[in-house]
Amino acid sequence: MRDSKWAFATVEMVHLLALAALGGTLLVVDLGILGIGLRRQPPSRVARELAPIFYGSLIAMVLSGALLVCAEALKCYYHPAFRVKMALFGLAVLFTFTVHRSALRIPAGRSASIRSKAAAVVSLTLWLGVGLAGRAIGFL
Amino acid sequence: MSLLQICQWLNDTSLSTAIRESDYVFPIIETVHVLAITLLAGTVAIVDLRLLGVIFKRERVSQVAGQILPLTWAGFAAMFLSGAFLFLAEAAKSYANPAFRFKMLLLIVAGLNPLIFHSTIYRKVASWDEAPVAPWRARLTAILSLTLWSGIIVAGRAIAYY
Repeated sequence: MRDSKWAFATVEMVHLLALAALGGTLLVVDLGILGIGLRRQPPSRVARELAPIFYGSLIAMVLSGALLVCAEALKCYYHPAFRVKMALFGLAVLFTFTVHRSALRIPAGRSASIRSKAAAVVSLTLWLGVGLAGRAIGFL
Repeated sequence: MSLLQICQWLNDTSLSTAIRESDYVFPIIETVHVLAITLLAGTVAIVDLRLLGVIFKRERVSQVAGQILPLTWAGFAAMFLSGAFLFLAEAAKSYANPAFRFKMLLLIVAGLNPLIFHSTIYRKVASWDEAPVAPWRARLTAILSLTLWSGIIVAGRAIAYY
């Protein structure tokens, strides 16, 4: 039993480390579009540079998350926060790979359009929602 | 007055009790603490990866670091403040927790690392700013940074298990 407690803790830690990496890429790209942080580089280039980290940490999140669900399957199934998190996660991924992608195409030297900035805000909000819902799972 | 006595005194303050016994305050502060990891560690990892020549190889180090580090500092402020409140709420318990102690030790080293970096090798950044891969001292700083912050996150999670 003690062993499995630490196995669960290890998976949680991987989930947290991957969260740091994933969140970091999202923040740098989206805040950059909003003119905060890495703003002098075209967002499409920033996104392209950070893509390996984004994809790698996303995969790590999904794999570690799946293991966490396996360990607490019934709790997750019935927990409203988990369902909300999965719904928001689905929306966030969908948004990131569709609307957000086209919003990244900002001509060099020009500041982002309202549409691009709105996409950045929606992106940050959706992913923040995933994080908040994930945290809420722990509070039962 | 020993450190333990100070922690016990903190534990007895009304502020500490209020945070600890509230249904909302502690969870909210803890949520901020966990999510702001992205702003602190996530952004610094990106700067570290530039120093290691993994990403943004064609961007100057000073450009990447100069624009991203303000975000990192904002993250540090959020982590420090939320962490202080969390500690305040459970001062005596944290004092005895080995994971917490280890985390604090790592934090000190994680603070010294950039201090040394910025006052030595980074002073001459103009000479290696455009190099896709930075000098070995800068790469060492980056590896230490990535390792230390990962350790801090892991130790932070372990606190709940002791």
